[in-house]
Amino acid sequence: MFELRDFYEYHRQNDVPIIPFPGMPAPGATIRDNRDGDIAVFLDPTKLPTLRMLRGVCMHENGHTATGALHKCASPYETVERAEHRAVRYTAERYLTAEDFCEAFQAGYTELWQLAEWFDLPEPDVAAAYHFWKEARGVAFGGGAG
Amino acid sequence: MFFDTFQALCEEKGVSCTRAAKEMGLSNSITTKWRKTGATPGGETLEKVAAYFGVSTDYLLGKEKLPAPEGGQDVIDDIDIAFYGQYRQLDEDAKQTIRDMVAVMRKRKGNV
Repeated sequence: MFELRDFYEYHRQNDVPIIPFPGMPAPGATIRDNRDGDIAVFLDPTKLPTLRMLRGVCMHENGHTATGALHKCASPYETVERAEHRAVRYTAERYLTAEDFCEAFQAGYTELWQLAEWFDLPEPDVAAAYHFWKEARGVAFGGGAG
Repeated sequence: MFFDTFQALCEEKGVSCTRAAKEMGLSNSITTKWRKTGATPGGETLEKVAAYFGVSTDYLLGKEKLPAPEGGQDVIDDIDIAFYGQYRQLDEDAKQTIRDMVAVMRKRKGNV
C-alpha cells in the first residue's frame, strides 16, 4: 500500500526536492535538469483538492523519479506514453500489486470506484495499474474493476 | 507588475535592484517607488532599463514572453519532464510556466 511518508522519505534520501508550485498545467510534474542531472518533483496545491488526489499524484511522480522515465517537452505521443508506462509499471509493482487487487476483489471491492476507495487513490491511477496487470502481464483476475 | 520583472532580471544578472538602478543612472529611490506603488516607468527610463538588461520594452511591460537567450538554448530543450495526467500539447503559457519551474529549481539549488 502506498504511503505518503515513504514518498517523502524516498525523495529526502535521494536529495530530490519536492517543490510546491501553484499555477502548473497539471497537479504534479517531475523535471530533470540536464544541465546537472538534478531531478525535482513539483506539486500544485491548488490542483490537489483531496488527500486521495495528493496520494495519487505523489505515487505517480515517484514512478518517474525512481525510474527516470521522463521525456522532452516536444516528444511525440508514443515517447510520452512509454515514459508513462514505465512510471505506472513501477507503481503497480510496488504499491498496486496483483495480490493487492486479488485481496480487494476477495473483500468484495470489484468496481473501479470501490477499488479507488480500497486503495485510497484516484480512479485513473488504480485503473492504470489494473490494466498493467491485466493487459501487459496477462493476469486473469476474473470479474471486477468494471 | 513591472517591479517583479525588474527584480527577476536583476537576479538573473546577479545585481541588486539598487545597483542596477545606479548603473542605469537612475535614482536609488525609484526601485522602491516601483515596488511600493506598482508603478511602471515610461519613455526614456523604460528604454534605459530595457537596454541595461538586453530585453525589449514590450517584455518589461509584460506584452512579450521571455526572450530566448542570445545564441543560447531555450531552457525547455535542456530538461526532461513528465506531467501527471493525460497527454497534452504544451501551449506557450505552459512552456513559460515550465521555464519558471526550472528557474525555481536552479535558484533553489544555488541557495542550498
